[in-house]
Amino acid sequence: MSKRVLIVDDAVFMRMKLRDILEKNGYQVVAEAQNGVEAVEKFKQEKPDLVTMDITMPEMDGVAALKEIKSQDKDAKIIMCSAMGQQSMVMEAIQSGALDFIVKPFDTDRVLQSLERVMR
Amino acid sequence: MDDTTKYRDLFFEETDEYLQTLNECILELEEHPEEKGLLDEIFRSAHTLKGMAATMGYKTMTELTHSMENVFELFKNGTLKITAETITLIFSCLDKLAEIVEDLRGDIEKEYDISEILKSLEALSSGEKDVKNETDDGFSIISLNSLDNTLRMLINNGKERSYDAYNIAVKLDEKCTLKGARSYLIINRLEQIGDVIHLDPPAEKLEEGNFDRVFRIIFLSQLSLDEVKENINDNVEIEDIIVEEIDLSKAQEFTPKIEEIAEEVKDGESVKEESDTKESSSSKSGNHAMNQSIRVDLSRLDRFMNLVSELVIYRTRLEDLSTKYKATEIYEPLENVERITSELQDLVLKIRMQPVKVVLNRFPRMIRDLSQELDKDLELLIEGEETELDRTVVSELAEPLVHLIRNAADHGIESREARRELGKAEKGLINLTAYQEGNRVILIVKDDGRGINPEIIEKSAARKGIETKGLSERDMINLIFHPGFSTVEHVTNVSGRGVGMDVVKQKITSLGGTIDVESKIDEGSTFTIKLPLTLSIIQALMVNIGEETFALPLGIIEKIVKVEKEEIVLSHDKEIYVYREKMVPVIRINEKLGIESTRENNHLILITLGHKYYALLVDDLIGQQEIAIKKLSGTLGNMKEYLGATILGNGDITLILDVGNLCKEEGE
Repeated sequence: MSKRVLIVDDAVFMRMKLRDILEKNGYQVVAEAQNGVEAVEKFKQEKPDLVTMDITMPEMDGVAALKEIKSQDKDAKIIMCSAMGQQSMVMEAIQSGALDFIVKPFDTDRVLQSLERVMR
Repeated sequence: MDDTTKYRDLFFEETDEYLQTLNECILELEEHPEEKGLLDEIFRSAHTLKGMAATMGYKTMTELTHSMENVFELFKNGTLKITAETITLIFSCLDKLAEIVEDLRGDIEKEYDISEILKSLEALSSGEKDVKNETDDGFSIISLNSLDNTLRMLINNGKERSYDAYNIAVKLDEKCTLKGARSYLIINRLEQIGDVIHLDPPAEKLEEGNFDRVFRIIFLSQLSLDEVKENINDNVEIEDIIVEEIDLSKAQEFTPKIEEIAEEVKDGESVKEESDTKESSSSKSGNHAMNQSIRVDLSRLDRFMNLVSELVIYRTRLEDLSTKYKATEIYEPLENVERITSELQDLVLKIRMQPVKVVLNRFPRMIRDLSQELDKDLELLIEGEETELDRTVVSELAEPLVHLIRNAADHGIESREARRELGKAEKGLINLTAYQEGNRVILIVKDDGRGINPEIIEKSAARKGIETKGLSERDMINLIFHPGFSTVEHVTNVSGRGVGMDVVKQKITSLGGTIDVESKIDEGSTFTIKLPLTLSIIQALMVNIGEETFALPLGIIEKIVKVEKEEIVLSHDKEIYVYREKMVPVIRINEKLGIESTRENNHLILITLGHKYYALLVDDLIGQQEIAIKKLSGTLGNMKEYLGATILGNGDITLILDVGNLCKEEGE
């Protein structure tokens, strides 16, 4: 069975790009969220196997959303999506339980690698 | 879109700072390539810039800083030599960056062609790569012999609790972008299955991403070697790893020699600490000082200044009233108000003060570029960069100073050959000195070049139809400030477009200052700029002209004399007064302003502008007073005769005479 993924990013463009990469490679994108608040809700509804979480977002940023989701489900598998220069945020996310991170602009191989390892 | 607009101002402010730091550090680096701390700072600044640009979504800027960072990293790990060429390339990157930033500030987002620069940067990075691959075999685990006693103890303790010690080295993938976060993730994962007891490089460096792909770990865990390895391999972006079990019995005793190495490491730290303390004391390395400070919006400061000025006005008014009504009881509290307002005034003036180095610090870089461009050996000596001036003055100073220094480098300093023939040192010296003198700040730009030849000036003046009759040599030289005057026959890239010195003079005069030049052939020229400390509150002499009261800035007044009519004589159709055997032109202010003089025009105020004396004829003197200058606005602002207006103690509004402009026409 293909893995169910929730994509969180405030930019439609980024979500489309990720969806494209994932769906072409046998993942099932079950939902998209455009901010942290939505991400927490959708996570509750869909219980995805994996979440890709952007860091900079309105309403609730990715790190806060990660913490919220982790507090509800400590086994939640979350990969952070970061831009260059967000090192400290990434580290905070790792501290709070993010399993990996991928750096924008996305490299398809890198994204898949990361997903594969996290799902193992 | 990220809502980054509100950070824009901050972004630009900080970017300016980082660019300046980079410029300074790289300049210093060229001279002291061995200094590690410098590279660290450069690297940090570049990195921060990149991060900021990326966050703001400025792509080109991010790309450029990123490539620069790569080169800095190569500097750091020693694979790339610091040479004049590489430094020049870095500088051109910085210039491009500055250009991009300027455009972004103006909300212009255009396409930049940075491919050239990127290519050169890449060429640098890849050129070294060959070398790097050779040294790359340095990918290895920590030598057991270098483990200090504490670590050995920890390892032994672990053994007793059936924790095995592992010596691990991880090499990250070349493409890995956030090395700091990546290493952190790996280490974080290891911490879940054991204890990380030693990191090389140390944790802070790792977190900053301040290392070259390889990091080493001493790790205690109950898991087997294979399990540990697998755990690490679970991470992405790893190129290679080495994991070995540590057997301390194989290690040599902890020998003194290794202690030395440890010492060295510590030394490295203490050096860093030292530079930290240096930074906090704003002494010599004050350039990079981070004083405890807050940022204040300039307009707020201006407003504060304005309010204090008004306070001063009303204080003066209260004093006036209290004398008028002989309200003795009010004297004492009023005295206190007086003291406090003066302190307040001093304070706000001080807050507005900025060291001139803010403008001066761009010059070492400029001189470097100029010496390459002009193929001359140039040395710039800056003194007194801590001298403070009102910030409005400081920010206006850059342009005239740039001009003077370019002139000095281009026209002043001779070519190497010419200097050799004259028996001068090949290296041309330009001195830039600043110091405070009373309530003025003096800035001197001095070169030891060929000087200004009055004869050439005379010829050139004649050609341009400027009257030179009866001018002393000194006056002749000062003709260079005459509008439309330029002695250069050929226009170089650097200076000499004929609109030079008069613009400089105009600027300085508009700042309430004066500029003057002295020069000796083959010995060099000295430009002296005198500036008021502040533009907002000045000591003034109040005078009567006709029925009107005017204020004159006290700073320029040399002497006041009472004259009899006979002492003012006519010469060449002009009224003059003889002062210290010098002919001083007399200016009847009432005529200039079109006011009827009621009384005897019997007070002469002698003023100096540059090295020239003028005598201003007024009707009566009232006294000396501190006044706050309010700029005239609207149509009034166009009136050249006045600097501004002020409100007096009695509530009257008085105009402040712009002596420079009044005398200017007379002088010509």
